[in-house]
Amino acid sequence: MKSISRTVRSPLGRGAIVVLSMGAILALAGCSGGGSPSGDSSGSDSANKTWTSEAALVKAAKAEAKAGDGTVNIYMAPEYTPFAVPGFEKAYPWAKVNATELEPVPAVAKFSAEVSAGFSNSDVVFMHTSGVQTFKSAKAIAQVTVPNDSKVDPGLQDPNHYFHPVVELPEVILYNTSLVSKSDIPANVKDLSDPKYAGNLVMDTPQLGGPAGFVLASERSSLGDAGWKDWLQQIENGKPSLTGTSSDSYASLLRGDKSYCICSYGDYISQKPGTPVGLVAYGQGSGGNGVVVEPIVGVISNTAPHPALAALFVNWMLSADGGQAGFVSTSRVPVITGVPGSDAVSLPSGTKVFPLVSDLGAYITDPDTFNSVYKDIFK
Amino acid sequence: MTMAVAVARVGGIRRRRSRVVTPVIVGLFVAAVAAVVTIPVAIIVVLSFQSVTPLFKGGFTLANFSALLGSSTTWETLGNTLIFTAGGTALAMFLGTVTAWAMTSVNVPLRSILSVLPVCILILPPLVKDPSWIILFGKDNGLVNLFFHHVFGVQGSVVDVFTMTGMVLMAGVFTSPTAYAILLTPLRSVDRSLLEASQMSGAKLGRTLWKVVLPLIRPALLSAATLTAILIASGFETPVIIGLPARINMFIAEIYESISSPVNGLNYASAQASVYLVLTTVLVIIYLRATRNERRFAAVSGRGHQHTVIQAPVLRWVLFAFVSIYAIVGFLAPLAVTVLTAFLPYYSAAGGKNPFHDWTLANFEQVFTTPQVTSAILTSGALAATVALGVLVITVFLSVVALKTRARGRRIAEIVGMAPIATPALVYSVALLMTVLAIPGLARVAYGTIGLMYVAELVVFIPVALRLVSSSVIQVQDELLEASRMSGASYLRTIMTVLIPIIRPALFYAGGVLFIEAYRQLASIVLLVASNVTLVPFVSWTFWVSGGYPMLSALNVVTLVLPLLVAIAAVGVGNIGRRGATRRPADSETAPVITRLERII
Repeated sequence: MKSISRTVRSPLGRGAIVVLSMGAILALAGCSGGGSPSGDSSGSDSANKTWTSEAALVKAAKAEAKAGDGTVNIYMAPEYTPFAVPGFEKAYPWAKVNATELEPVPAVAKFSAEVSAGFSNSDVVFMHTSGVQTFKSAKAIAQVTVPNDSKVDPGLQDPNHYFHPVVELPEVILYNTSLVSKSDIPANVKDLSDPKYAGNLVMDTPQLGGPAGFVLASERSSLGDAGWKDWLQQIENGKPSLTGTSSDSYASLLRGDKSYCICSYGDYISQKPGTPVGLVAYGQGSGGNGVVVEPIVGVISNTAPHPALAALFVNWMLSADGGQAGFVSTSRVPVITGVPGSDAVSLPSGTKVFPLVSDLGAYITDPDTFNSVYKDIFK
Repeated sequence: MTMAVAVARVGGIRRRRSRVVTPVIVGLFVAAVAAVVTIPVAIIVVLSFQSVTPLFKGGFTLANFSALLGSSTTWETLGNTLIFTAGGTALAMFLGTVTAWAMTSVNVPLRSILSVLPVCILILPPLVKDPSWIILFGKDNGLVNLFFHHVFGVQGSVVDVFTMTGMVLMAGVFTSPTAYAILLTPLRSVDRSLLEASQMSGAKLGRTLWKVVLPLIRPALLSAATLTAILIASGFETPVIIGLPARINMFIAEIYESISSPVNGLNYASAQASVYLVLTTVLVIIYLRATRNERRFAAVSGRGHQHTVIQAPVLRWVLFAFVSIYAIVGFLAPLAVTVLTAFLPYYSAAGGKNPFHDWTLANFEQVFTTPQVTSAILTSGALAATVALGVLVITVFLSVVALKTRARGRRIAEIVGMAPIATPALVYSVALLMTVLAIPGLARVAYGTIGLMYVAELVVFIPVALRLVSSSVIQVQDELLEASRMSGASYLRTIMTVLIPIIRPALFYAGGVLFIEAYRQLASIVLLVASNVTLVPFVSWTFWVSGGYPMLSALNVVTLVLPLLVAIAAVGVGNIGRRGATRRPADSETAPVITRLERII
């Protein structure tokens, strides 16, 4: 089992880390208000906290809001804000959300610039897991445990609580039912190297870190490094069509350009009735490792101007109301159980799910190694 | 006599005062623009020589350049970019020049309608242009290929957008409106007497065009070619949406990929941007050298000036067909695809089946029940209008300083205005972000504010506006402005009452183009966007990821209304201004200006 806490090289330099650490101390001294954790404080940084009860967290956040302007600054993708912002403000009318609409990739770029400059603005940043390790190494994100972390699917949880999955994006194989007969449906991801699928596959460019990057990486542990590269080469020999995003892949599949795609499950469940696209939840097929689930995660800045409000926002995203806010508009799957209506967007019952954190830990902590292999093969 | 002496004295005092004050104001203004433009670019260059992101931390290194120039991918992508840019520019110039000439100089039927359509191409956002061309010209299931297959029994593909040829066609068609807009005013300003002199000497139309017209508009041609080349080389959408599936990688896509990398991506991206900066700077220098004697190209003079429209019984219909096909391929067909798919539950032509069935209004219901759509349209509209106005003011000023004064170093104003074009919008956005964060105290004031978004958009659009405006300013002969100044009018009054009325059509075109570009622009502000601000591109993305192409099409149909109205208004008002001028007794475009000059005198 590979731990996601493995250290990688820091892009920020020692000087920046010193500045960051000092910034974190100053920020906490100046901005933490009356927010004191009810539980113990763990880790070396004073931003690290364990909130064991929601009541204590709310109390601390309220005190923080009273002492300051009552806002929490979040960087979040535009598809979530229309529901998440009013939902949180309705749950906690004394708090306000300053939401900056940023997709995960630019959110990482902006947060990275802030960290580099030692400037604290953001409280919570939502990103892909591939961005987490950099900030962790730079001590730019805090280890915070919120009460609702315990509700999260254990396979997605970060044991060190640097990141908090808020929605999950299952990555599946889809096929165009107008072009594919039942006998030609692949049972699992490994089948995609079969020459009979040559010229018929579309996926997002793996080195861009989207669904295809995750799904292809999931086979490395079972195939071994050499076998994995051979398998990737066999897929490449079939000249798959590579796109910029999984939404482009889905559009290509639906148009009929290609017959099969590695796509997001969200595209499948948001289809209109009669759409000629079928699903292979490959965890159900023989020999499959299980459906890879890519989480969108929230991280709390180590220099968050409003650390208690930040923790409260993350905690709310992991509540039933927050779970609904996460998927209502976007057909995303909540990471916690018991969210009303989540059956409509969840994977089919009994689907085997790939153990993300334990078996894809290498990809999460060191995506560049995988990406360089992808870049060499999928030229 | 007494009155004349008094006027001369007042004029003399004003001129003496302006000799001292004006250069200072001009210098400060140009310096301020230069600072905003060049400091972020300089920071990008500094970052390219570092291995870690914080400025001046960790020492300097050539490692980024060594890795970049030692990679075969770099040379391959640069080669692809060169082919793509050269091909696209050539096509864009051909389409833009022929169409602009047809609309200004030949009695083409329905000119008032056709002249708007090329500008309308600009309003199509990337998430309309690229997907609609895939639907139209896709290899296996493109509507054009299906048409040839079903009607003529053609097997295989007639057209395929997923090739270098397809990408060049796409770049050429969708960038040509910029060339068209730049060339429109200069071609309209060509004096009839010059053409008549050529024809009286026995030259036929083709020779007159080649020997008289094209040399006259050479600065505008060079402006248009430079700008379209850089726009094509910087364009990100086509290289990603078409280039990636076609396995044709472009240099700009590599830069974006590096910026996306959380591990030292910015330093490597800065090195890539610096290489790009060198290449685009070469283009700018070529342009500046070619137009250094720009006053030779002044074509609009005093009362004698008169434009002519050629009466060509056959050619008018040939050009009508040419412009119509161009407008169909570039605007009407993509728009039709967008509108039709907006009424579909999904779009699929798999196996050659008819994709247009099961019509529905559900997508529009979704658009009209999503509250942030209205606020996004209003916010993007307000941002675009403000940016367009601000950019026009700055560029008129820079153009006048560069082209209509004799101040030493006046061309610095033009170089300053052109500098941002050397940097892709997203790279400039990152650079501005780093600048604000690097200057002590500035971040607390400016970070996360709407003001920073405005600054980024102003700077990014200055080169576009400068090309559009300066090609018209060049055409105005100095004698008109000098007459105003000699009569005691201040620089500002001369600009407002003499220059602006003459170049008004170009200003409306430029304003329309800027509004449309700023309305849909995201790359320059994606990292600078203020909190609680929703813009049209964000809502488009939400619809794309959550509802697929038909729902996005419905949103596009709704959000395109505003820029479409602006485009029509810009061209319409510009044409009204032109017609108003030509109805004067002197039948001259400059007649109202002459009247104003007479009033001043």
